Amino acid sequence: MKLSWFFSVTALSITTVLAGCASSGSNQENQLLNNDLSASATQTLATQSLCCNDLAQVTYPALTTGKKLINGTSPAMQFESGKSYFYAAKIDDQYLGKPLSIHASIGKTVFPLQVLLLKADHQISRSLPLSAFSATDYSLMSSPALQADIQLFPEEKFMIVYADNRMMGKSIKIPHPEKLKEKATGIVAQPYPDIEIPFSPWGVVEIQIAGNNSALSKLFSSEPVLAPHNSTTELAPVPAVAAVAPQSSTVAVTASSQTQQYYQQAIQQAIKNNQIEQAMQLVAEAEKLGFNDARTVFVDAVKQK
Amino acid sequence: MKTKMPLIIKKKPLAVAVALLATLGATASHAVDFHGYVRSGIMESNNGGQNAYLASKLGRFGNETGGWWSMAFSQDLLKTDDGKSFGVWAQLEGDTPLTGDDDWSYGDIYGPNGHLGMSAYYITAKGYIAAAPEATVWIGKRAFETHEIQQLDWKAVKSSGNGAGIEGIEAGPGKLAFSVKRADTNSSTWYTTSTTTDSGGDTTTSSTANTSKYNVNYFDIRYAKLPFISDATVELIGQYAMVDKNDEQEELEAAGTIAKAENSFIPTMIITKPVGKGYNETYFQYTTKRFANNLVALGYNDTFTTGFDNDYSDAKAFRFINTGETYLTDDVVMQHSVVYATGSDITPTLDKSNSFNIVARPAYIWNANHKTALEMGWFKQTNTVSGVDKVEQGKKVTLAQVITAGPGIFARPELRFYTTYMKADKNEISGSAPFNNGKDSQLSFGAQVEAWW
Repeated sequence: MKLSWFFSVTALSITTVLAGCASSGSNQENQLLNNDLSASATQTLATQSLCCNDLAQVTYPALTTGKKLINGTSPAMQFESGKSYFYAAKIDDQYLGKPLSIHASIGKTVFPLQVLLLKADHQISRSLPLSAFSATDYSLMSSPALQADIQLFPEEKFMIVYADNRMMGKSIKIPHPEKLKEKATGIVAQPYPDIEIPFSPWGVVEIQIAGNNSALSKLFSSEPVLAPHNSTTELAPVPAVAAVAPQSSTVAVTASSQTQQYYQQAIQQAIKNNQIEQAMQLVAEAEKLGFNDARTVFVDAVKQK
Repeated sequence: MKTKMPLIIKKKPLAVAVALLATLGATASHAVDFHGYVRSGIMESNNGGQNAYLASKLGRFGNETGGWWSMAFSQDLLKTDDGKSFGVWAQLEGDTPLTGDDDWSYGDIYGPNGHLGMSAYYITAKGYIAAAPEATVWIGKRAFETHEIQQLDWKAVKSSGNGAGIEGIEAGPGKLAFSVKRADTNSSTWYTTSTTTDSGGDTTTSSTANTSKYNVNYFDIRYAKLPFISDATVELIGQYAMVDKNDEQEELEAAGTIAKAENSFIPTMIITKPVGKGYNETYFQYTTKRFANNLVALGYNDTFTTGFDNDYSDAKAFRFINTGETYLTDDVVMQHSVVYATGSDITPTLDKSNSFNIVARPAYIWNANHKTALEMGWFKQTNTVSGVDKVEQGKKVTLAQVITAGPGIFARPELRFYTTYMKADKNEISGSAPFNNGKDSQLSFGAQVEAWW
């Protein structure tokens, strides 16, 4: 009996110490993920001075994989979707032709990321809007995220990751983690409501080399599957924004038509070079971005062979 | 790793192009989706061993002596542009006692060293019924939409087995699902004696236990997602266990050798309401015959027959359940379960049964990674057996520190360090003290991990 009391006291002591440790400080990443800083971030952004007036003036350090904290210490610029903090990088040769996985971690808030890919002369090669990113499910040790995999083109030399400022004040709904438990056990999840996550000008963005062809990545793919209970993630619709004449300090991102034209040319060139699989991948990417003429371009290019 | 040869279009380029684009539309297999679940840990007590005590009544938190694991694999086999798809789902599950180093040697599925079994494998096809293109047809082994009272570790609604069904049929304001499954089960036991005489003239009489396997088909119909009051929804469920007897079983029953197996029907109504970041769920169930015993048994109250081991022909039972999770403040969350069950004429000797149990678990959330939980459970069950009242009653208190590893508030796994005190105030139904050394109380401590992905 004495031994059992010793163990009980020890267990309770450990419990108390752990509870005391619970209130200790956390690192910057945890600060961004575990706190709703969207209001203060929006206020800070409103008074933030702009670093640059055009894309050529931006400083582009070499791209490195890993997590990037976008917060009040990040540079800010005026984009067509509004003022935004951003992360910029120069794409060195080691990344050329590589598939990149870009995602914004979902915590108490999420960064509504968009991506610009630039050529050597800082002209826009491609623009990936927020709608190009899908919400991924939870995994064992990581939060869900807004994610997209992209294949870098050889001529793409610079990257900018920035927020769609039109999404501030809006939110995304993600399935409660209990719904993931249902996929693992087959038992109907407790009916927790979906979790509403507000967008924020600050966030945690991660860039990795995507392992598209490895057996391991295929096994642990986050692609949606046919499961007994499909849970959907709702992205708040992008509001219709009236056309605004670009100001001198605004980076004009007329990327939509440019990007579409780029995909048309890239599909045609790939067919011409007999790179059929690359052409099909380009069709899939273009359709995901809403360019519905991609298949017609593909077929026309084949006819001309 | 194989190097892919470049695909070159040479002959009939247009036809090939169309074919290639068709494959882009009718997407071939995606990667396998893998999900898993694991629960394990260690427990020690002051009585020289580990005993759980009626987790089904007092709550499973700090009251589990077994682990569980599950691996589920699913994959889209085919998806077309017009919304048709084929998929496959396979699930392995097992449990592991927490008592020894050799507990990873899995014997037969119900062997002493742990379970290991294929709990589900089925194929789904969606979009192939013209009248209901949104519906999904499935065939295989499946536990269809099991509703578990998570805090008490039993299934309020369960139907599991090999079968077929259709789900997701849009019907008015809700969705319909039908299924039929086989879950054959044993009759009551009867004994036959035989006498043998050896060469020395000595006779030996031996008794042999016999059972007969009944063919049992479960019919299951559900009408879900019905709007109720405000933002609450209702699900209506009907489950019917139909026994298909052979001639031998009919004769054995007619002779009174085995208890009569009768069909049993259980309707269930579930009212679900979101409550802030949590929820509240209420069940009403009423049944007669075999299912009635499941509702009032002193043990796990799964709604699933486990054998026609007695005469349930006059049995009736009703059950009410309320369970949920509520954020009292941003930092305080309360999980609770309340169950009331009552039955009459369950068996020829069990005249009446009334049970009530309540479990509450408030927790204080320190931050995204730490919370402290206190779970309190109490129950009382009164069975009237051949006119005599027998009472089983007990209580539990568990204090735990919970750590959620990894970044963010949604990450898993969850680690729990706990201490639990349990006392059996009365044990007239079970007839014996529930803990080692004949004790009616136990102080235990342990650690548990639960993770899913």
